[in-house]
Amino acid sequence: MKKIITAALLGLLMLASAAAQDAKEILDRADRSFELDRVYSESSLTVYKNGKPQAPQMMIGYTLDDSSGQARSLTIFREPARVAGTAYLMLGDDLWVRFASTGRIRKLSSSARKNSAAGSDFSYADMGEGGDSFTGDYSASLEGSERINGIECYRLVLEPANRNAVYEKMVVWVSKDEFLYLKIEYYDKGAPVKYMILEDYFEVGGVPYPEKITMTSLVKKSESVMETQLIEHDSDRVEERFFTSSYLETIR
Amino acid sequence: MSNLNRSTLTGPWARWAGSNPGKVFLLVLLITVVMIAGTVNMQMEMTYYSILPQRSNQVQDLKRITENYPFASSIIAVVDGRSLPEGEAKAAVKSTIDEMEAVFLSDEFSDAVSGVYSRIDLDFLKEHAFLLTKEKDLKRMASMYADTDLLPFLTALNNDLEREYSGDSDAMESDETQLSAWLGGLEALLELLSGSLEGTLPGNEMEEALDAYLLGESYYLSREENMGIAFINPTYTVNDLGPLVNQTNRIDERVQQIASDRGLEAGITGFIVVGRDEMVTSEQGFALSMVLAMVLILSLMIAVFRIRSTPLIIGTPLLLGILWTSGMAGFLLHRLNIMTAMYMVALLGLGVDYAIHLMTGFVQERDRGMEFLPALEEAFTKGGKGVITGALTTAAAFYALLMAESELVRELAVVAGTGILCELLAMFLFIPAFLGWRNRRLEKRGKTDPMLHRKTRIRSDFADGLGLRVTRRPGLWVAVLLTIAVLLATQAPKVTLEDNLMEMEAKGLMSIELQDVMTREFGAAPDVLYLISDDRNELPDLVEALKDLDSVKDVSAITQWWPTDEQKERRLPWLEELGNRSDRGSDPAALSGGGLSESIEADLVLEELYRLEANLIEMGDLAVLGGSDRLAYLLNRITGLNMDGEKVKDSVFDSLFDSLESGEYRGGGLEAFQEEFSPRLEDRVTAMASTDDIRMEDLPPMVRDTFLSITDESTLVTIAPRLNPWEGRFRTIFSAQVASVTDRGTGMILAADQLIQIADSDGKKSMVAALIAVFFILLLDFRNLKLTLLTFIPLLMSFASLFGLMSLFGIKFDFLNIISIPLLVGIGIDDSVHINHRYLREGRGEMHTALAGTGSAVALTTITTMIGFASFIPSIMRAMRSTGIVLTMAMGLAFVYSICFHPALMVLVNERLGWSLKGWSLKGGKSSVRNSTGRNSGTRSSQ
Repeated sequence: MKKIITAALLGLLMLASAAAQDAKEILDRADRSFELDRVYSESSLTVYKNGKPQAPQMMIGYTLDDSSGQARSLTIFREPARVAGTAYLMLGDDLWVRFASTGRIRKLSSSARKNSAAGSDFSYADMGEGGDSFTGDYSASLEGSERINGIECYRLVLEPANRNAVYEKMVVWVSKDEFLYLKIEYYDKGAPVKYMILEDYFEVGGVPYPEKITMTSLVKKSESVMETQLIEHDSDRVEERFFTSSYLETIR
Repeated sequence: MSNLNRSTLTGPWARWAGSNPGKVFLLVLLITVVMIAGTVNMQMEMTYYSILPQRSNQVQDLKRITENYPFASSIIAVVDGRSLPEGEAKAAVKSTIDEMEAVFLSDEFSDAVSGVYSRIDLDFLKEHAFLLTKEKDLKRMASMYADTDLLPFLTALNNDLEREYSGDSDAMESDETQLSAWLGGLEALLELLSGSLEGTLPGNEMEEALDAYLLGESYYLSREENMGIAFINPTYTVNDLGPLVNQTNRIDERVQQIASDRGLEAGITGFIVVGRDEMVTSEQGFALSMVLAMVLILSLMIAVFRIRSTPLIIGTPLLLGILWTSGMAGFLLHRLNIMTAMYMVALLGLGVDYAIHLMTGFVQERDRGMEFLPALEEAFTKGGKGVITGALTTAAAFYALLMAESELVRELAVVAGTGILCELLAMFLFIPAFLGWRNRRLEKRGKTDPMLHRKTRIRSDFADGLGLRVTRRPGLWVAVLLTIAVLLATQAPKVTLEDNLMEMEAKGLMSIELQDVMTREFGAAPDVLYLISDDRNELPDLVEALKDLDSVKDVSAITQWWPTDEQKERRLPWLEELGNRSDRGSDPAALSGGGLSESIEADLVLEELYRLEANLIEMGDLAVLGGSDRLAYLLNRITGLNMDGEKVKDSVFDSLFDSLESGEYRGGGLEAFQEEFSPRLEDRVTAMASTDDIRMEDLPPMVRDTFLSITDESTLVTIAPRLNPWEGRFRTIFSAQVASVTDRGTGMILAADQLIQIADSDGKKSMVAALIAVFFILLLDFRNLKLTLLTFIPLLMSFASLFGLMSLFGIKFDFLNIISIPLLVGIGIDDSVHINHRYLREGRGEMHTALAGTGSAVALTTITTMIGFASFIPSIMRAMRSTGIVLTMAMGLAFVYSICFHPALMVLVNERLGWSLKGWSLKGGKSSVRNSTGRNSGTRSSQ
């Protein structure tokens, strides 16, 4: 009898392990969209408050992993005129902002990564961690299938695997046919607080990349739409010198 | 079920009643007098609050809150100055609120209003503000006010701004209201400084500027400062139904009048006001539906029977039945709620069916030439048993709902079942007696009932023709209708449950619209969650945990005004530091107290002013990006920028820079400002850092009414949501996040959730109970399992199709219609039952005859029932309207499937497939089709 129970338990463990393996594989395949390096991008960000669009923010973005693989990003606003030249520099957990209106540079606390980036529904972490995959900070489990916009998707639940994880929990939907992230829901204190829809994938550097990303808050009447106008993988426009706080002083 | 007894009793009863109308009228009068006593004992409780599930902990807590915490029942008067120019609105709103406070505290409203709260008690804050401040903020304050001399003050202020708000639009957004007031104070101080540099010494304006800077705005103003709020505490609660409407209307009218006199608009909202609106709109809807149903039904009866006295013959017992039902409800339940009141209207459509059957039988007998009394006896003998069987069946199906969990459904079961019995009794007592009385009058006048000798039979050509078509191709009819039902059924799972109680209220109510306005303009929704605490010491941690939730805008508790001993202990060192600064007694004119020369000090002040301007410009950048329009406007005004960040006008900073940078400046203006500013700020800070204990009696009245129970030691915590909690998915998120901290939350939001959940669960359970009850009654009636099951098919198809159509038309289930749907089991199956009986009596190959014979009566009774339900549709209350639409659709579908599908199915199984529909003989063996079933009758009534 003991042998049967042991065998059954082992069988269950193997099944659970296989499911976890499946979930990790799905996530790994989906993460390829965010594993582009030395990326130059031009994009717009429109925030809708109470359904009313705010002035669109035009941004230029540079991302480049450092030698240890840590993500680094520099975002420079070009529009609206009020913030043209304002820049955010993120080096791992460190975040700097340079205000074009005053020319001053501030280093923000590491807890600020969770804060709203430029008044949008994206956090600095959402914006800057584009180069990081979810697999690093979260452990995934496969919890069935659902359709998102008519596309059959895997439904994966991500729980924090280490202290770098910003969110308490995430639910992600990855398309079964192409392994693309279609929706990500972010949880805090037991409830979803915002969700992201990724759509209009196109090919960059041999991997699919979403042209349009919409983050909708569930606790504020707010929605932020980021659209990529131009993206270059392994771009010559991305230089190592951009990723220092002293470079911020030179931005005009 | 003793059909024999009923059939032998009903005829003789009718003959006796027709011969002795006076005695019957006396009996009717006696019953009516007793029932009037019951009706007097009954209240109309037409609020949603009154139907909340009483056994739920949340509802019990909510009741405790409305009874023990006066502020929870306060009426919120919203004054709207958005139509006024930017500079005028704030002052106009404030003066309007002042007048409201004076009016509602005067004798004119002493019977309706116990208090008015329109401002924060600044005097209390001037004494205790720092004792009420959290330690981490006290640390900031200690740094900021360590030295109140101008230069160190400016330096500390800049340090604080850079630490708190730099790059953090979230912090700015959450502190928007406080920041707006603080910016007003800062701008005033800078203006005074600029004036000093130009030689104008600050006077009393310094006090006002310091009030605004240190304490913020005392009025409850919107983000744009063009709207304001006053809280009016009524002397009654939502349970006091009399003053709820009358006094709330008085307050409402006066609020609007005061605002209108000043060129503003105003309205009221809050728990009590929404309750008032529910009472008024549901009573209006009820009255309108009742009149409409009565007029339509009686008009139809006059058209059908062509007797002018029909309103009396049918209308009187119909209304008596309603009155008696009210009386019984008064005796048994002491109230009618919104659901049972609606059922009273539906009862008109159900009760009239009995009259139709009895009157039709009587008229038919008279048409055949029978004398009055024999005709009456024959009509009641033939039709009476069916009517009684039908009524008892329907009542039994309704009473089956008594097994439900909620009071709402159980009360409906009592009123619905009793209502059917009351209508039955009223018809049986009144109709034969009235016809007898009428006959005597006609005979006295020498008339032999001429009005009745007319063709009253409704033409049956259509039903006959339909029967022939169905009989010819039963398979096709079954296939087509089944396909339609299955197709509609595929849509059924898409029907959603309306979980927003506000979507069930009347449209366009100001009390509901103001909830959105408050959420949008003030950043706080009036429908909050509450939590009762018996331990003040648990509150600090609880409040912090709740404030940390994304969906929570603000949390208020008594400890924000009356700190615990532990809080006070932790804050005392900071208070002492704030109250005993080392620079006291130094030269009041010295800008830094550090012995620097005038010119160096002026340069340092200039540097800090540049830094302050830069901080405010950066905050403006964030406000623009974050869409905080009010903050952006204020910050731009102080810095002279437009929304694009371009310099468009000289600002107070420009004038300060010009003065300080000019070669002629010698520092005198700065010193003059310093002499006024520094000691006053120091006095304020010292006073605010008082370490004196706060006693309960020291608390401002508004704080006591808000947080302290009037009956026990408990205190109230209010949790304000970030969005309107009735909207969409937010309520679930808000509830879930609060539940992650505490399971003791309550409020209309959670109570309504419970109401909807229980209605959903009770609706399903009641449906099953009603189906089981009707199944056994029909099995007993038909004594044939196959026939009983076949009779259910059109009913089930009606439900499936109804849900499919609801999905296609975007109609949602709500707590009213989902509860009323089980009633349809007892009503919707009738038509098929009538057809069964007639078909079994007529025999094989005679379905068209059966349809011709029953079609007219079935159509007529269905139409009257539909009229009863449809009369809710014009109601302004959306819950009533949706229930009317759903029930009318359901009856229509049940009728169509009963007269088109059911006959085809019966022909198919009985005549083509050879299924036996014979009933089991009670004495053993099978009884014949004609003899056994032909004598039986339907559920509600039969031909």
